[in-house]
Amino acid sequence: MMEQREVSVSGHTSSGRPAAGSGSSKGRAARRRAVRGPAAKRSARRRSRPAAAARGLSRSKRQRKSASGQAALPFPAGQGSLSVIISARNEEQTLPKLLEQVMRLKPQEIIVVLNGCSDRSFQRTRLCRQATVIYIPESAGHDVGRSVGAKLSRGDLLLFLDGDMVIPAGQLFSFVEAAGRGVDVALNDLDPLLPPFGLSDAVTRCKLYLNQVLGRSDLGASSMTAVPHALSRRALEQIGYRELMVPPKALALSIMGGLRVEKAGMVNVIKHNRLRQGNTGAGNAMEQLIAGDHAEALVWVIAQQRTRGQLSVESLLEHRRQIAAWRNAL
Amino acid sequence: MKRKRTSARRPGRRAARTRRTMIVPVRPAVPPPAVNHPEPYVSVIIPAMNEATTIAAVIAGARGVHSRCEVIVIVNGSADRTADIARSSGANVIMYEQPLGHDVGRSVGAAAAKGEILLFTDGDLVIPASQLRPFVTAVSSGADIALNDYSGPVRSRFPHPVVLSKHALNLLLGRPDLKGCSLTAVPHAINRRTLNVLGSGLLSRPPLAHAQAVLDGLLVTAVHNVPVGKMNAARRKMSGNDPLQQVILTDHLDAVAMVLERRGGRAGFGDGTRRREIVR
Repeated sequence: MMEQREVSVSGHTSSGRPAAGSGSSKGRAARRRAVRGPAAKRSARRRSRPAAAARGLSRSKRQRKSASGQAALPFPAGQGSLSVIISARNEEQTLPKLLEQVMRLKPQEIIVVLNGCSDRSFQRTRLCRQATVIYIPESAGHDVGRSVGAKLSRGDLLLFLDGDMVIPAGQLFSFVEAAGRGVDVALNDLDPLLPPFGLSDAVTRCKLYLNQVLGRSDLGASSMTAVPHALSRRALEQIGYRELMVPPKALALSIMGGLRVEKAGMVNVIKHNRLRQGNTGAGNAMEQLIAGDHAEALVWVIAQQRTRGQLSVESLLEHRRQIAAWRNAL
Repeated sequence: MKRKRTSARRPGRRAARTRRTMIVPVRPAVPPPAVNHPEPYVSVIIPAMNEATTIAAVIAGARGVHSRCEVIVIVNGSADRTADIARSSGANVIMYEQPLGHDVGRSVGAAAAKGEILLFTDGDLVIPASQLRPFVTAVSSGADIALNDYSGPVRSRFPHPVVLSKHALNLLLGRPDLKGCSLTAVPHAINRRTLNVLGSGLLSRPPLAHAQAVLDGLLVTAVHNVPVGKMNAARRKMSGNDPLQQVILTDHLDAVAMVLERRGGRAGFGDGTRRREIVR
């Protein structure tokens, strides 16, 4: 409990203060290390390996150089300010590179929510001066991270990312651009990457089915479960940031709430997704979690559809009779 | 018996094929008697609506599944000679002037059945006894429900809405191994215990019956593939959209609702490491 409070304080204080001195950040990191205990020991051990340390240092230096070298893709003014929300767990390798791409979008704020990290993700993220870093010591789930980030954000448009994948700014831009021209929920279009249905996984089937039930088969397997996706502030307010914890339900709320939901770009997150224990193989933990999320979404959708008026059992029977008669009148 | 496919895709194979060769009838040594057994072990239930051209062959196939067998034909809304032909083939014919409605014939037939095992098929599917026996065998050796191992066409990225619904229902039932197999497709066989648990009425809404069977812990298995998709008669459709589809989709959604009511809001799936209390 103690840790958590300290963490949220650090999140707020560094928020919106891009000029925060490196000295103070070091001090805070040191304090955190002292609090963290076993995780800190692990990361300390890793740091003591000279190869890893050297690699880390050279990386961050290179980044800073290339960041200034690459062209910025600033979001056109007048279409609202941009908040980028990144949820991550143990992504010290990819986070700095991702942040470098995000910086090219010239966002108003970057919120990085770290949960259950035992590596140097925190230290690496703090090298990005604009980033507001929220540190949750224990594993909380990436959706919870997004929800926390959304709550703290202030921008008119919100771009949600995961820390495990470096996506070029050009590809991120299409989501922001869609949100800028009035799309409330701009989704990643994974359809061209899908295998034949017979070979697809449970997650894809859940997504397809939910969209079908929502009358949006045109969305294919697009879902808020997948990143990147962008939301308008209006969408966030209508959905409620707590609901972002269960992304399929958030999608259902958006569609049934009449928000403009569209596919906005195609980023191959399937190919680049980091394979970990827990997200590989049939029936893995991630698959179970997402199936449960879709179940939750369906509960809500079915309840809504029923209150909006459903056929009674008698009229259903009569309907069946009529259809049978009609079909056989060849 | 599964036919081996020679290649993954054979474009135009339907057009090229002149005759369906998938079914190889096994002629029994002694032709079965064309009467119903007084104390049947297997009841074959055949809903039929204007199926005069096929009904005789359908009944002939059904007769061969077991030596103690009764055939029940539920003739409804038929203007042709379906009932006469069925009677002369020795079937127990239940007549309705009006169409009963999609799958309602199954309930009527099940209520009239006397056998220990109930085998469901359809008046427009000519299936030889050799292709029906595996279902009876599976139930007589312990399964409560023996399904057709048929999931519908799944080669495209985006399946038919009904095919998707069947897969999703099995997923939420925690039975992804069943893929798209369900009580929706015939032929399938059930034992009397299943009939008692589900009640004959529910059989008119096969997805609900299927869901309840799995939820009640009945032993449901897919036993044998009969490719009914290739055998189904072409039906009228309204501008490419089958009006029956909406009924079947509603049945599936109601079945999903039943699963969620019985198994709880996440259908029994966990919440992983998600800590919801962090966000107020």
